[in-house]
Order: sequence, then C-alpha cells, then structure tokens
Amino acid sequence: MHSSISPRSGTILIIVAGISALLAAMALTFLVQMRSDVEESQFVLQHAQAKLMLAAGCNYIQETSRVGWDRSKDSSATPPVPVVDGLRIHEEAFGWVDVRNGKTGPLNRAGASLMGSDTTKWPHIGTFVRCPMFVRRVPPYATTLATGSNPILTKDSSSPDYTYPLMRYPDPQPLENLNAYDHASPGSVTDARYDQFAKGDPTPLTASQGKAWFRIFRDGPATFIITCGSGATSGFKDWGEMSTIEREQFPNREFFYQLKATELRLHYRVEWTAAGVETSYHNLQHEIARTHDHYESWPPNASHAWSSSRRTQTWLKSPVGTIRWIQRLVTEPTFW
Amino acid sequence: MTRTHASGFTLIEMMIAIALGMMVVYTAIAGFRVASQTITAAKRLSLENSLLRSGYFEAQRQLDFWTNLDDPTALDTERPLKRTGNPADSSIGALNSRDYSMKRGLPFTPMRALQSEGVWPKSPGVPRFADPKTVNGARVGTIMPRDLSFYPPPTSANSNDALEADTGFDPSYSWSPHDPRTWIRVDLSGKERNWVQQQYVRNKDANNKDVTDPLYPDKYVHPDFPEHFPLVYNGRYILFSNPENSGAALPTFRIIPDPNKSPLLLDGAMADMNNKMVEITYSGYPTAGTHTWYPHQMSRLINAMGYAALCEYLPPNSLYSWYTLVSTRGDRTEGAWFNKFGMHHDFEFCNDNGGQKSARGIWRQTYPSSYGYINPRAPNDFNVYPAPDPPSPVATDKNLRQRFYARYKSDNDTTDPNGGNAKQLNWFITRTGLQEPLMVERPQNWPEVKVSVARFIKSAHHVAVAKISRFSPMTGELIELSWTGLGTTLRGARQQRLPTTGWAHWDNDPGVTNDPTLDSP
Repeated sequence: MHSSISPRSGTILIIVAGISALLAAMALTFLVQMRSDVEESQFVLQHAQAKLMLAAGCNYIQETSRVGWDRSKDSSATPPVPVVDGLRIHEEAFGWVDVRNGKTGPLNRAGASLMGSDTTKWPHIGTFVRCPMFVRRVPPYATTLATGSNPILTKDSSSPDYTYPLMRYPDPQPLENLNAYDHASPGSVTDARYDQFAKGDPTPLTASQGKAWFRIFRDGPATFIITCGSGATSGFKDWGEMSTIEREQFPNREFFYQLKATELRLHYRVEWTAAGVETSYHNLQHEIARTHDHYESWPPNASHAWSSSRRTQTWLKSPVGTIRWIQRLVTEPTFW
Repeated sequence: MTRTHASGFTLIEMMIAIALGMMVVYTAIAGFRVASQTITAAKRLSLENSLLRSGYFEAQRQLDFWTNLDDPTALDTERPLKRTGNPADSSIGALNSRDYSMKRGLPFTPMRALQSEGVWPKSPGVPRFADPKTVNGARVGTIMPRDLSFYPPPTSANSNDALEADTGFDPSYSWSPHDPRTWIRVDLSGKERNWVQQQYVRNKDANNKDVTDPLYPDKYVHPDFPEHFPLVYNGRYILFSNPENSGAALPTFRIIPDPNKSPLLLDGAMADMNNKMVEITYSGYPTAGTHTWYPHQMSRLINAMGYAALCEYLPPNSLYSWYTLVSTRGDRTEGAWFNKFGMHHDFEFCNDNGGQKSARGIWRQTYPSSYGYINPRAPNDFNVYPAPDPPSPVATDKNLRQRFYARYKSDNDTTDPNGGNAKQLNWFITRTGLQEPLMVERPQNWPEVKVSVARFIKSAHHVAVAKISRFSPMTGELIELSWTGLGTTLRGARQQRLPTTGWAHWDNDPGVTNDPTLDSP
C-alpha cells in the first residue's frame, strides 16, 4: 500500500517537535528562574516596606506627643474640655513626658489626662495602638492642591469686595468640597459638613490594602515598642486577640495564619524625648543674619552651609520632640 | 510515446528546498542560540540580582545590629571597638589626659568597665528606678522620668544635693527637658572677652614691650592686674555649671562691659567714656562646684565613648559647654584643654567656623565637620589625612580612639590645591563607610558585591548611609546603590550586647530576667 505521507515529513516533524520541546524546556527554566527571582525580590520589597513602617511609627510617636487629642467635638469628655471665649478649645498635649513637670502624658494644658479612663486602652502604659497603613479614599482634613491666587479686586471701587484683603475666599478648600463651601454664601458651611471634612472617607483604596502596618506598644512613659509589619494581617498579633467584628476582616482563622506566615515582622524599641534640635546664640544672631529676618537668613531647606552664605536651619526646633534611640530587638518580645 | 516522469527533484526544486531548509535550520539554530544566550544572561543577571539582594539584607543587618563595627559573638580580643577597661591596660589613660594615645573613646566599651576603674562612679544615695511595674500583664517603665517635685529648686546651686552630685550613667533614667539638672547654665551670647580686651589693655615693660603672664605666655598682662586679665566666658553664668570643687575663694573680676570698645584707660580717640571697668563680685556664692550633674554627664560620656557617641547619647538640644576650676586663682573659665570643650576651635570637638568661644550646640559643631565611627578594618593611612598626633603606623585601639576623637572637615574647599577639605571628607567617608566584600571567596567569574554602612553626624543629623556596590567581571559594569537607612542607634546597639560576649535578651514578660548590657551600671 502506498502511503501518502512521506517519511521525510515525519523526520521534519520529529526535528521540529524536538527543537520546540527544547525551546519550551529552556523557556520553562527561564520562567522558573524568573519566578524564583521575583519571589526573592518580593522579600526585599517586604523588608523595605517594614523599614518604612519604622519611620512611620517614629513619626506617629512624635506627632501624637502633641496632637491628636482634640476632644472639642466630644461634649461628654472627661475631664471637661477647657472653654475659651465660649468655645471648646482644640486641645494639644505637652509630650509623653510632660515638659512642664515630668508627669506621664499626654496631659492637657490644665494638667488633666487625655488618656481616657479605661486603662486598658491606648495610650495608657501597657497598651497598644494598631495602625494598618492603607490609603484612605479621603484622608481627614484633606484639601485640594488647587489653590487659588485669591486676587484682590482693585478695579471696581463700588464693589463691596473692592480691595478686600486676602482670604476673602479662603483656600485651599477641602477636597471634593466636603464642607460645601459656597463663595456666594460663606455661611453655607455647616457643622455636619465640616465634620465630614474632618473625618474624610476612611474607606480603604483596595490596591493599598494588605501591604504594611505598624503597631506601637507603650512600655513606659516615653518608651515604646514599634512592630513593623509587611503583610496583610493588619497588625493583629494572633487570632485570639481579635474581636468578633475584627475577625470579619478575614475569611477564617486558617487564612489569617496563612497571611501571618508570609508576613515579615520587625520589632524595635525606641525612646521619645521632648528635646528638640538645639539652637544657640550664634545661629540666632550671627553677624550675617542681623539685617535679615532669622528664618530668611537661615532657611530650613538650604542644602549646604558655609560662611557668608545662606545657611541651613537644620537645628530648627522640633515641636514634637525627637527619638533618642532605636533598638532592633533581637527576639520578639512577649508584649507588643 | 511513453513519457518518462522524473522521480527526483529538479535542480531548481533542490536549490529552493536546500535554501528553505537552510533558512529553517538557521532560524532554528539562531532561535536556539538566542534562547541559550538569553538563559545564560538571565542566569547571570539572576545571580547578580541575588547577590545584590544578599548585599541589601547584609546592609539592613548592619543597620539594625552594627555587626560591621562590632560582632558581639566574637571574643573581646577580636572586637577592636570594645575594651573591657582592665585597670592594667595603661592605654585607657587618665581622665583629663591630653595625650591622644591615653584617651578612651571606643564606642562598645561597657559602662561597667569604666565604673570599675573609677571613671564612672555613681553617687551613693541617688535613687534608681530598678523596679518597673507590671501593667496589663506586661513589665513596663524600665526607663523612667522623674516628676519635677523630685528635684531641688532649679535655682539652687547646692552642689551637695545628691542628684546634682550624681556622676554615673543611669540607663533607667530619662534625660528629660523638665529636669533642671539638664539645663545648661550659660549665657548663649557670651563670648571670650580676653582677646579683644587685651588688644587695648596691655602692660608695657621698660622697652615698651607687652608683658605676658609667665604662666600663660600667650596672655598679655593688664596694667591693673598682677596676673593676666581673666578670661570670662559667658559672664557670671560661669558659676552655675561647674563640676569642680577646689575650695578656692571666688575672685572679684573687673571687666569691661563691652569688650568690642576700647576702655577708658587707653587710646583716647577710641575710648568710650561709658565703657568703664566694672567690678563683679561673687560674695554669697558657694565656692564648691555648682550644678555638677550636666558637666559630669558630658565629660564622662566623652571619655567613655568619644565625640560621635557623646552626640548620640545626649539629647539633641544639648549645648556642649561647661566650666571647670583648675586655676588656683579661682578663675573658673580657664583650665586644662579639656575644660574648654566645645568652646574653642583649637580643640577637637569644635569646628573651624569662627573663633568665637561661645557655647555651641550640635548643629554648630557639625555643619562643617563630621564625627563618625571608623571601621576598625579601614586602612591605617593617617598620611592621607593627618589624624591627631602622634600618627602611628600600626592600627591599634589607640589609633581607633584617636579617630573617634578626631573631626573631619566636610566643607568642600576647592581652593586648596591639595584637595583640602574635600580630601579629608573623602578620607572620612571611605573610612566610616569602608566597602567590604559580601563573600570572602567567590568563583572568579562571579560578580563582586561589597557592602558598607557608614555612620556619622553631619549638620546635626545622625546619618547611616548604606551602600552596595556590584562589579561584574564579565561586563566590567559597576553598579552602586546607596540609601540613608533608619535602624538601631548606638545606644540601641549597646543595649543589644552583653557586657561579655553574645547578644543580650530583652523581654517585657514580668517573669523573665533580662540580661545586662553594655550600658548596665
């Protein structure tokens, strides 16, 4: 029987198939190698993210030594919010160790504690705060970058706005006009809308979730353990410490521990001090500075300094204190 | 007629087939070669990236554990930046020795070692906070501030107060701004009066030559005074931060209110009739040292670990100035070299920016100068930038101490034909940030990866610069990655280490006994 398929065709098929298989094998090896590299690179990324959380944690400690304790909207606050000119003031604290008397802070200007009565809750000593670092859809007090020039009307002398000073139409305005400000009727800003502006929209942006978090345990008046996490557990230590509502963030216990297993956690201990960066007479009253305003002659953002030139003001006083020391803990502490 | 069919290919068919076949084969070979080269290149890049990643993690390890400067698992003999303070080690030297070879200044020397030889004694009777509380199950409060009521009145100059007399480093104490002991008592606007006044006020001998003080040949003698005109830094405030107690009676100073103007008794053309000599007496003040805690903390820290470490241990708002009493004349402003620490540009911890002898803070001290931690494996090439004398060809702990006491100019002085400050800066950066190979041995064709973490102070910033470099012997390509890292500070690193050998365990479980550290008293 005469075959219609030439033996040569089979040979070519074998050769082509062989070469293809070889190329496919090489491609597969290549892809496996690349995948391995990417996985290892992922760990580099995780480590970098965790280190960023150390900076975030230190910033959190520094800033909350002074701000973040505003109770002006809480009418039932205890102790009562001080009232000035009939208005409940926006309170600030005076440090984790109060700079006025060395007592444990945060204390308000009257010396009353801003920590609340529940000693098991942050920021009491022996408690922690958990900070998953996702991006909110609208951060609190978010403003637009589109600032206006606020021009002064100088052409129409009959206008009630003629030569009206700056800030006639204050800017920058809240993002998405959350306070419903209307140029025509500035009184349109209501308390409710202002609250919305103050609160923002805490809904996380999906792409930013599950990346990194930090958690701070206050282990003394001014010492803290910062745990830096790079992963999706949102800073929960384990399943047991979560409330029922908190557990709803995760499908189940096993999934949480799976996330935890792939997560990187670094533990640091730091000490905060109210001491800011120094200033000295020489800086304030140097001969080249006498004819200039102090901040003009010594700008904070100059890159370098030498005699007879403008100098950096890197010794600028820090209103939120500084971190005295940082210690990476060799082992995981029991409480964090 | 029977037509014969050709059973083979025609020449043209063959030529076309061969040509096509060659193209197919060539394409296949080329594809294979490209794939092969791609895989080879990918493997090489993968190896290089893998080594870079390893370099990154090594740099992070150094940022967090300072292992490039001190390996706590090694024997003390292999830790050049640590000394145990054996009293038999004469190189440790006397407290105020000006001999560079006799100073301390190694950043990993245990406090306990210094204490045992009397450098770091603790005052008896000073309460320590050694018993932290347990709150919400955790041990807390191992570092405690004291409330203001704990202290004597801030205006008190009673040197007998136990808290003021304390000289020891207390790791459980928080150096807080509310603590009156941490307040420096100087007049920030005060500068040395000595030099300006003596330009106008000099005693002349018979040959109309300036008469100098036999004790201080560089000081002229004032016609009204049997000795040289007293140095007055910072006016009367010199009294209030003085660790010495000689029992000498405090003298009466006669000073010119404005040292920039000629006093009345000289050149009439320049005289300011209102700028008369005034007498300042100190009756009623104690003759003993006053407010001694602050200068003691600074002098002990500098002796313990050197300038760079001093800046890390002190709060950032520190002003590096205090006074001691060495002269028996009761002049509380001048003494041995050490006493003008931070006030005179001739001394090490003071940069060359101006000669004003005024109290200076960390920014003023570090914007044209840097202080850092020299890698102990760095070349001992003092000739590149002359380090403090005496230079030594042998890298010993003495040299390392000298380096820790040395400042390195960081201004870029391009006018210096020899490289000037830029050369010094380069020396400094390459010695603090000594690039060391990631692997001691490697295949010849493997990329070479080097890692360094340089730590120094510049313009009041404590900086840790991590750098990874990768050199490919195959391509000759050199890549450098550098970043300023955030991680463990010196004090944190010392708290990570046992006073002996090994890592110190720390936990906040009340049932756990924590290990002592290099900072333990």
